[in-house]
Amino acid sequence: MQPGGRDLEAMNFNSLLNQEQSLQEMNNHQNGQPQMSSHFDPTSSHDDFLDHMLSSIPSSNSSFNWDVSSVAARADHPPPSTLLSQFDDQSTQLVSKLRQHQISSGAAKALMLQQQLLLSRGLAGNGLRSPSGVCGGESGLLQIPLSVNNGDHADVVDESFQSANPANDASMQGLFNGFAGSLGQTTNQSQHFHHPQAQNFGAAVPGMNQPAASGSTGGGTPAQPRQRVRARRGQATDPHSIAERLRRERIAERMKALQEIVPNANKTDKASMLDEIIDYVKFLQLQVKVLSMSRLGGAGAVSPLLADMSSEGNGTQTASSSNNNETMTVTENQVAKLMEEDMGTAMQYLQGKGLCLMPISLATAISTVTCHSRNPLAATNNHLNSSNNPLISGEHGGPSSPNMSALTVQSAAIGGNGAGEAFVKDATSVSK
Amino acid sequence: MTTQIIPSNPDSIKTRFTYSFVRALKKLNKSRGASVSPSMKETYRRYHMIRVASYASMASAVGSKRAWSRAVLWKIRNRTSHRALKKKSRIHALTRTKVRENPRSDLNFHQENDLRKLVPGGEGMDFCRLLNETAHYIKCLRTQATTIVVVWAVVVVGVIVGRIGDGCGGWVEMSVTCDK
Repeated sequence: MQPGGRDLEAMNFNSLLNQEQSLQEMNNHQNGQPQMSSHFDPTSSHDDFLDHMLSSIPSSNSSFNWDVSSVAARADHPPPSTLLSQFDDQSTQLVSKLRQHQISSGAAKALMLQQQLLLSRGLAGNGLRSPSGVCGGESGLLQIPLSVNNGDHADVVDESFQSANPANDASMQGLFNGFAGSLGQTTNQSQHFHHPQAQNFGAAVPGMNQPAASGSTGGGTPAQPRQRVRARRGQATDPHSIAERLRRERIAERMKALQEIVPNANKTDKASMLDEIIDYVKFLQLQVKVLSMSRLGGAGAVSPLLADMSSEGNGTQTASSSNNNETMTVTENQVAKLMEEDMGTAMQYLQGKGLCLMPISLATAISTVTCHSRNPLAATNNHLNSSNNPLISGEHGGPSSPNMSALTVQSAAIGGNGAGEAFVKDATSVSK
Repeated sequence: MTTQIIPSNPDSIKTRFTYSFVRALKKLNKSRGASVSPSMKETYRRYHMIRVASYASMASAVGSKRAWSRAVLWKIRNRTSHRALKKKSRIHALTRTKVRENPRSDLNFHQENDLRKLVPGGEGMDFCRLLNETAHYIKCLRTQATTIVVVWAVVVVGVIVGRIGDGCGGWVEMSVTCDK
């Protein structure tokens, strides 16, 4: 796991956000003054911001910067106001498309992200850090979708910027038309990248590997080619060796295909690749088992952990809910303590208890979806589900919908971190 | 509980799995009865049944095209009826097909074995076929895991998801109305 790299990415993304925000402000400012005294000032400062923004992305491409600077070089051809406005249009188009895309799939992404968070520590670590930047910037361009999916969106935006790479390579010539064209292609490509990414995300794959892997592929071919044995030395006629060679080639082919499926698959060694595959299969099997047990354990069944913690296996709702609260505070204190030292151990501790951390925005997203659709049924379900539903505790400052039939929100201040983390706890399962 | 499921891609494995899994869950729930405080044993038994239900519905969604799904279905069917017969048949299966031990891949033999044990039905095929089956098995396990989460969110938490179909490559649209 590489939490450091992920944090770097998140922080870069935060700086990207801030710069984009200031870029937006500058755009707004300059749109109000179409007639600039000097031609190059807005252009160059605009490009500077854009350069900063682009260079802050960890896997950003130099060709993109090159294109921008080439555009800047030819800035005297088109009038600067149109330059600026085109920049505006394109960037806002791109952003709005991304945002639409995000929001429409926000719910499902939220769900899948929740599962991902449940099972991958590193991603949860990232999910904690990126909201800290987002909540700060109120007028950021990408603030809304980011508040829904943190790690996820970072990947997608990275994707879109990376996918601009081949597009820009293709359209290096031309002025803004080239740039506009590449941006247009970017939005399409972002959707393309979205689909396979979505499939992969849903799989609780350690998400940090996804951007790295896709960044390295970036539209090119992945993985090293296996050494193909072309022994034409006189053993070619030997049927056994031919069959052997064929067999080896087929095995190599399959291993390559597996390499694309299994994450963390940059091993060139066949033995370590097999190890990786075996570990991954074990992990997936365990995941299915845990999910089916913990999530769908059935109504009225207290989770075994809580049953052990309470004095006797009491199945009544009030007893279990009061136990829930007690254990919640104990757990929270413990986790707060652990989080100061090491995120990893904190996550481990939580997972051992069957809990997970999720960003407030995600929890509120789920609760918002629940709230909107469950309002007419709120009355009937409130009594039944109040103590049986998963409890989500979040920070009081975050945006929260007040009436939630299915979810209870408790406030918890965690380590003074303004980002807001939430516990999702399957204390008891829901009676249908 | 009434469930209306409108699949956006009616023929995908995901959809079929969702259908059968939700049906199995409903059946399990009905048979559970109104026991307020189940014993630990009952709880674990229920867990086990849910897990078996998920594997069974996954295997049936895949069909008999794949060796591992056939193996899973076969195991489940025989588990309920004849345990002794199953043991005999498993031994028989092992002796029946020869696992070709390639001396070249001796250093991988240990891992190969592990992989065979993990993938259902992996005992009786050569390494090449095993890799194929593993790839498909991994894909199906992944969809299984994500589907369980969605089913949980919809059924248990009560999240009504309008259109999950956008941008996620073929999820089902589920509208669940809960009346108790």
